[in-house]
Amino acid sequence: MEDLRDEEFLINMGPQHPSTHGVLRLMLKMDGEFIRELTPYVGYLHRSIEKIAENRTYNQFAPFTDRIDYCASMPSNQAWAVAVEKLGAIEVPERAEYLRVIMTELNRIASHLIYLGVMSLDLGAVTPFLYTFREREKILDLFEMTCGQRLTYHYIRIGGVSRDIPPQFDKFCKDFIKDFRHKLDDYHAILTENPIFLGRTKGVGVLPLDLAKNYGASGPTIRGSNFAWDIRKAEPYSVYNKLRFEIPIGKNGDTWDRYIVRMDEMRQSCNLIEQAMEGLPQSDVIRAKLPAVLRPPKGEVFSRIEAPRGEMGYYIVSTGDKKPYRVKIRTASYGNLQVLGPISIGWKIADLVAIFGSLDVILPEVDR
Amino acid sequence: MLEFDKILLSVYTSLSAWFASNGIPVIWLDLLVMCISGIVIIAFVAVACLFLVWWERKISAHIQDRLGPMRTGPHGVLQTLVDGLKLLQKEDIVPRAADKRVYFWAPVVAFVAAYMAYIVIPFGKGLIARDLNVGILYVIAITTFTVISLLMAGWGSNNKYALLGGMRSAAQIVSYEVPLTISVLGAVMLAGTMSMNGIVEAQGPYFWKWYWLPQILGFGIYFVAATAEVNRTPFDLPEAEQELVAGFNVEYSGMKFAMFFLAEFVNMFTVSAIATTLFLGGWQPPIPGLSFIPSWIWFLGKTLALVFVLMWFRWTYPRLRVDQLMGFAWKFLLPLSFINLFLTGIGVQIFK
Amino acid sequence: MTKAEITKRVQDKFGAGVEAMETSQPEPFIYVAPEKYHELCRFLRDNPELDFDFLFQLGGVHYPEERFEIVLCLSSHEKVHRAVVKVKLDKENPEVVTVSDIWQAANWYEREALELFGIKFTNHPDPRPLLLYEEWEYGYPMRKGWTGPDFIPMPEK
Repeated sequence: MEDLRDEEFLINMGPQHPSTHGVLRLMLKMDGEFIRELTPYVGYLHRSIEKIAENRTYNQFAPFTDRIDYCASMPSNQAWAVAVEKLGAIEVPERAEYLRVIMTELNRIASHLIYLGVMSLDLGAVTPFLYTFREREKILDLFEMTCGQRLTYHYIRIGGVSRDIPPQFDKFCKDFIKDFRHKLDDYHAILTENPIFLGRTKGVGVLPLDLAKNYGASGPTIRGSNFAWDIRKAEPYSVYNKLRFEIPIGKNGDTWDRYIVRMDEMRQSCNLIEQAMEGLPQSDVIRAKLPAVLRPPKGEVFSRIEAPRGEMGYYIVSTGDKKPYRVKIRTASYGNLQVLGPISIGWKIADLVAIFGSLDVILPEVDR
Repeated sequence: MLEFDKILLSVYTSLSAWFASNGIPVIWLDLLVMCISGIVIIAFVAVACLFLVWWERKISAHIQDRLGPMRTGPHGVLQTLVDGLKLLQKEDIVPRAADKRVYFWAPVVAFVAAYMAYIVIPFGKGLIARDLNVGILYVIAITTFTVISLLMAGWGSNNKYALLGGMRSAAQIVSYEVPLTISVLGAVMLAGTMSMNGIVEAQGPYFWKWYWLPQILGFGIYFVAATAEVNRTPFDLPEAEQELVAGFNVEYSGMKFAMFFLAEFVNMFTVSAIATTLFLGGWQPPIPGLSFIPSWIWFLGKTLALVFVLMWFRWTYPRLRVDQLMGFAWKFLLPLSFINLFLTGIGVQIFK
Repeated sequence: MTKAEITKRVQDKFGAGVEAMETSQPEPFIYVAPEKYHELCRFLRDNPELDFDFLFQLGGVHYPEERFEIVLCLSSHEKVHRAVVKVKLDKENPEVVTVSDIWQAANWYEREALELFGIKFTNHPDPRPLLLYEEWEYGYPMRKGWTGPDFIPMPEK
């Protein structure tokens, strides 16, 4: 039998994965145990959403935005709504803005819970996966009582939100937040100081800051590399400039830092939700008065928001017609996935699983 | 009550009297006893598998805040039986280019190696199939057989990834055997004998005198090494690597796969039983006053407690990477076990 | 820096090659000629006061019978300002130099524009299709007026 260590050979981590990040094919050139080169092949989930956008009115396109990143559907909706509102200079009523913040932050927690469960599942600790999904069930119950949907909400519409929260939302949400803070401590107890977890993640897959900026990484991926950049603070949209929160950052840019950043972000989201619930103005108006078929003025707009995975934004070209002329969607995972190639060189396949889990990539976002 | 040892002893004496009275040499009686004890052990191992698989599913379910099997029988007790029946009627796929004989015998070797160790395990007072005077040495030798079956499985599958997986598993087991054996030696030095029953009796009837206390380091090392021997998390990268490359049993299906799977559970029970015998006083009650509860219940209780801890580990910890796993065995556990041996030797000399 | 300041800085350096678009948006939308495009991008990234170190996205737009267009959305982490750079390209043979040596993020965006619009990028290190599969032979889907066949069979493997 030839000595497998001395020759380079190709390993294909095929489109079907046990780690449920989506349908991604990775071609690895291995030198024995170590990865020499990594080439991702994407496009298995390409649904030509940008082309569809040119054939739908602005309001009709909004449900498609849910499906761009279905794990964080509220922020995806919000990205579209914010972009069109910027284009048409539409004013959103204040109660709607606060509701948007509550829903987006709840969805941020839900998305990070998926990240946590799947990351620990990849590393072999099966139990946190079920615990995080148990918490997520409560969030999905909150969403269901608000808009009737559990995954793709189409709740944040252009000009506001689609319906007001029911009366039992308040108590349910407050109970959930109080309970969730304890559960976060539980998750920290299971994983954060565990020597096995540290051995698998500390120092693994270090992402240097200039590499991250050059490749277009954003969100917790770049915040793990000791860089406090958050669109909610840098270019505030909605009512984030009225709410107090911090941006957690990591020190070294390794997998453990990105994990800690997301755990702390969940805690910050809890604070944001509480502040938003307190500051929720009493009002009946939850959506701006808009014509049934929206015709934004002629022009182009470039807007972005902070989705759970990073920066998500739109570039819309409008000719004054009821349908957009060109919609270019930029999603967070598009930039984050490009970083995988450079930072996984020299690591083993088991480390690649950890690194890829820590980037928190959702493939439908990449392929659109 | 259920004093199996007295029952067996009386049966044996009456049978030997009958054999002697009819002029049949005693060797036939011994042969008969050996056959029957072999059958009893197989039956016990089979029932133990059944129970352990169900137990694992229930424990994992409750740790994960769910219920586990609930429908097949009350609280799902018949689940393993039903799974076994399902696996029995699956198509037996043999890869075309596989080495047929090696491929066929690998799961058999795995299972045989697993249950051969039970011959010397003292299930209760007088309940031991054969009390070899090199009992513990025999057990350690037999558990090495598992390595052969892994290599056979990897080679016979004719799959380069299965071979890699098999070699990796074999390397792991062989590496962890060294600290395991050396930590066992500590208990053997304290007992002064290698016979399993002898070690149990040498520990004395009081639980503070059992070897878990003077050999606390050895117990710890033994337990960690045993977890690695059985390929359980946190040491199950050779199994989990199936997600990416392949484990040694990737080409197996149906009953052959079930053999490997069951062999793992049987091994779990074996290493827990050995730990009970060496460190936790075997079949003895913690204080002599509680000896109205039969000895085999004490033995089973202690062993199952250790099995529970093994299962608890699996559902709590992430896995170690392969190089971390090997580094841990050779650079940490091995020197520690030598230190333990050294201190035990000194202790034995001082306190004799 | 404000929109006017960025526009002024760019126009001071490049003069006739650039042209600011009239817009009510707070970002400067700058048209640049294809010959000055690479130089402008390098200037935008390297100039310490502009410091556009983040390429947010790069996309193509098709105006049939008029032109193709490349749109870059840029932003700066330190200075927290944004800009949009647009390049008008030929309507028959759109071709422009790549900026993936300036921002590595452009690599994938340009591959996508190539396969969906047919815009060629000279000196691109890896011009494979990104989203469509390699055997795709039904044209450039994102162009206006593209019609594909009613039934596209699975590629032969």
